[in-house]
Amino acid sequence: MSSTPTLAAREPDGWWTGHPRYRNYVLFAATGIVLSIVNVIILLTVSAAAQGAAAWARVLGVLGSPLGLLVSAFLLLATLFFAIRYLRVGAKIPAVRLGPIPAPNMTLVLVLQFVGFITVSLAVIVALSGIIV
Amino acid sequence: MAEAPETTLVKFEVFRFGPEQGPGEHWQTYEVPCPPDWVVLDALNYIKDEIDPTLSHRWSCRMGVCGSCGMMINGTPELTCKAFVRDLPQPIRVAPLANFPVVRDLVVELDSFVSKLQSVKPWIIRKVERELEHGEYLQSPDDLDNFKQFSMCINCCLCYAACPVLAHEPEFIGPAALALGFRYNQDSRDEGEAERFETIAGDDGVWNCSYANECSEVCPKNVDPAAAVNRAKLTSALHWTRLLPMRGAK
Repeated sequence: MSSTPTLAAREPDGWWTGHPRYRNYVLFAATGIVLSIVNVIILLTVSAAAQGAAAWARVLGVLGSPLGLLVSAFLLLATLFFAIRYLRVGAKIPAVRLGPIPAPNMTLVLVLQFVGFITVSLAVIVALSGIIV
Repeated sequence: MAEAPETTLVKFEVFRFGPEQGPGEHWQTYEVPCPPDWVVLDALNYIKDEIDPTLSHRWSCRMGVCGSCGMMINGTPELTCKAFVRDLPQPIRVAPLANFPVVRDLVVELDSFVSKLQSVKPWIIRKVERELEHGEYLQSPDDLDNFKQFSMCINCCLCYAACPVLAHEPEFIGPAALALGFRYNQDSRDEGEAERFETIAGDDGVWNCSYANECSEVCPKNVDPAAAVNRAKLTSALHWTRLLPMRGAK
């Protein structure tokens, strides 16, 4: 290593508040907290369904209240933000040659990921609607 | 005789640091008469030639090939030879690349980067070298396509300055070097994947990447190191579990 006196390495100016791209990345990472909350809500909801009609009605009441709807809307937006960014950058990963298997086209992977995401989301919505109604 | 192009007075704030001037750094303001076709590097050269010969900065080719003139321009890592002054809001703040120790003014120390490059063994490794009289190693266009993109790196280090992981974990091998290691692992002539595995998949390797994708956003050559690093996660996981006959394909 060189013995030249140096000034310590500097972080990018303003870090994550300084640039929209960094801000998006930190928000993306922060959605991990949101996804944890979503998982807890799902667990509580499923648990209530197992406890009987009264518990289920109570959970539906909480989720259907103005505050519940507001929280759900926020969770939905955060989850969509996570999913879109994850699928957009994640499409690069499978586009690799694995042993004898040739690399798939990255655009095709991207399209298939979004088609799969939308299909599964719609299927879940339809299935849950059937249960709730 | 051709008329001199019209110039605009542009304000630059330039990061200054000199070890002989004490431990601190400061920002120095310069006003530069810039023709409309000037890039930031032209303005820096003007400052050095006409205003302040003590300013230090690196540059060479002036055409986005050598990778020498990477700096932070208004907080974003860019090649100064590709950044047009007319496209930037004033004052234009020019600083040395982030995440690197500063030697002087806009010049950073690259020792750690060079060590990281060497650590991934960026050369063709063969178990048994072929004798010269048996000719070269042949490669199909498909085989070349598999890694060519990742061999276009010019070592400008913009990706290191953009990487949020490196900002907090300086030992992380980083985008360019890991992409280069992946490039050789994907080369059909190479047989060194196992030798590189400990480095690429080790403590400071690809698994430290949190996929911010910033390296690919700032890369002036569209190398897409984030893709390489994250594909290397996939291949290293498969290599580790030995689910696929990786070596047999080459």
